[in-house]
Amino acid sequence: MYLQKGLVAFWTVSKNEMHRTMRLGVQTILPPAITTLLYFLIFGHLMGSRIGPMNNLPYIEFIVPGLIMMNILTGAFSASVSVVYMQKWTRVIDEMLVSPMSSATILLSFVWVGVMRAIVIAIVVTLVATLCARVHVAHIFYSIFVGVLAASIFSLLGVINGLLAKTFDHISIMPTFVITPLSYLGGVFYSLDILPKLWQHVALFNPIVYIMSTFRYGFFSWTDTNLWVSTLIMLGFFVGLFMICMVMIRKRVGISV
Amino acid sequence: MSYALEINNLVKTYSSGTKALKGISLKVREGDFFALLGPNGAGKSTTIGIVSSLLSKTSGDIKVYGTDFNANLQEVKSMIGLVPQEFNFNIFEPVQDILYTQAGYYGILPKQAKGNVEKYLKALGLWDKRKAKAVTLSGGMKRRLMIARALIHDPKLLILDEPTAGVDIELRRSLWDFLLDLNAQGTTIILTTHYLEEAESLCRNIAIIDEGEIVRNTSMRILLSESDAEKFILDINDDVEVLPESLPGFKLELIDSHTVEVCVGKETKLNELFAHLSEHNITVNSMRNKSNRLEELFINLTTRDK
Repeated sequence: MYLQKGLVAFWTVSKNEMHRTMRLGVQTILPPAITTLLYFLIFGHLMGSRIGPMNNLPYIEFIVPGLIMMNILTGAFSASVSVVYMQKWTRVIDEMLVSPMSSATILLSFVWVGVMRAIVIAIVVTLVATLCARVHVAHIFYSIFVGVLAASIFSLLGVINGLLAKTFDHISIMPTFVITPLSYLGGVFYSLDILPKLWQHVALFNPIVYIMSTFRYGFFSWTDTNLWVSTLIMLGFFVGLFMICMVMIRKRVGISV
Repeated sequence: MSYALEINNLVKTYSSGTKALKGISLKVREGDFFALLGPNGAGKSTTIGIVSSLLSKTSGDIKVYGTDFNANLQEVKSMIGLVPQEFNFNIFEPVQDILYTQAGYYGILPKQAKGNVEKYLKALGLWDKRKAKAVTLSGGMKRRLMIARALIHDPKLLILDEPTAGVDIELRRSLWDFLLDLNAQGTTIILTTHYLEEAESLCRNIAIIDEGEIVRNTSMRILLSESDAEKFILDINDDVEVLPESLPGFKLELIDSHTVEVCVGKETKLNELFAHLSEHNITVNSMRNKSNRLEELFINLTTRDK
């Protein structure tokens, strides 16, 4: 009985937020499409021919997985952080907390909101990519798995940020000062091979490197890092962050006035 | 006797070290209309927050309709409806969608919730506004929407945290009628309010909380019978410069030349007062309570040691 009720509750939150994402498409979906198009024009067409091939691939094809993944990460994060913070700010979240929804259902709903937006953005960005470059996916199911797992990880980070945020400013700190820099340094535009040896080692402390690397494997069948180790690291992040979020929701961290 | 809510030795200490609840115990009977009163910061909202699981407790036991809060929280939550003090719905959502969303949180599908959505929107006079966005509703309508939302899953225990704050008197009276009907149908209601006449009119039992402790927990009838004296304001016809001497059991005070305040002892008959005033050629045009009895008792109980 509780499972069925939990699914209805999960569906209610997901449906409402999906409607919101689509209703605010100009703010949520269009910007990543335009930004990606500009990246392809500038880095792909204008500069790409001067940069030359990367790992035996035309540069414009090389950057396709990185750009899709970068949008997945920012899309998932911004969706979950904004839904959590807005629900907290308007106190709508109280209605979820007093209802019989379990902490896990509440958390999964928030994560799914991020994943859903990331999926929509990934589809749109991939369509934009096909207009600009040849898109070949060698392992489609693995790519989808990594995409959903990465979106889930960043949705969880969004939930944590949303719970801890005390002002609107706090929800823009992570994307600006953490996610975007780490994404650029995580191999969106280059392979780790071109870095000096020391920086190759330093880069391994950047968790986004493993996400970019495994996602790129799904497209091109090669990776900068060990595939299994990278996948396990991602799963480890997911489990760890999920548990942190569960404790925060159960203990009402950042929620109780 | 069966209880809708049993609280035993409930303690809440915030991380700042503030002890908001110092081991309160409380029992609310099934079908009761119960007032939980106290000054600001006394611990009312903390108690409600813990019972509705918005806040975590430090220690203590809670049972709702015999179900242990710790052992089966989901079942406990499904029996409670909460009307919070502040408006907390998506103001850009249509009224009926707010109720369907709430039903969804309780695991009720829209087609199952349809009957209750219609029932409560009609009962609370919001049916014509069902497709309007909540932002367009008046303050009173928003209050009614909060009540409809809290009832959507037919809770056995309804907790109202100042439900009529900022509501005009006409609407307040209509909400009272609605709540009394609901209570008559078997829903246990716990009410917190700063309008003490509201608590006096609606509630059968009462607890007064102050500084995290229950200072009184009894029936409204017993509490009101403890009132030693009642104050009235008399509007008098003639210009009066000096009042006659007070009678035993009465204390007269001239407010202005046309107004007298009189404190009447519990065992005293008002006829004696009127006769006394007539003897001194003072005509009383009208008379009203200075404050209600509960208000006097409340102030006595919550300021006793301060």
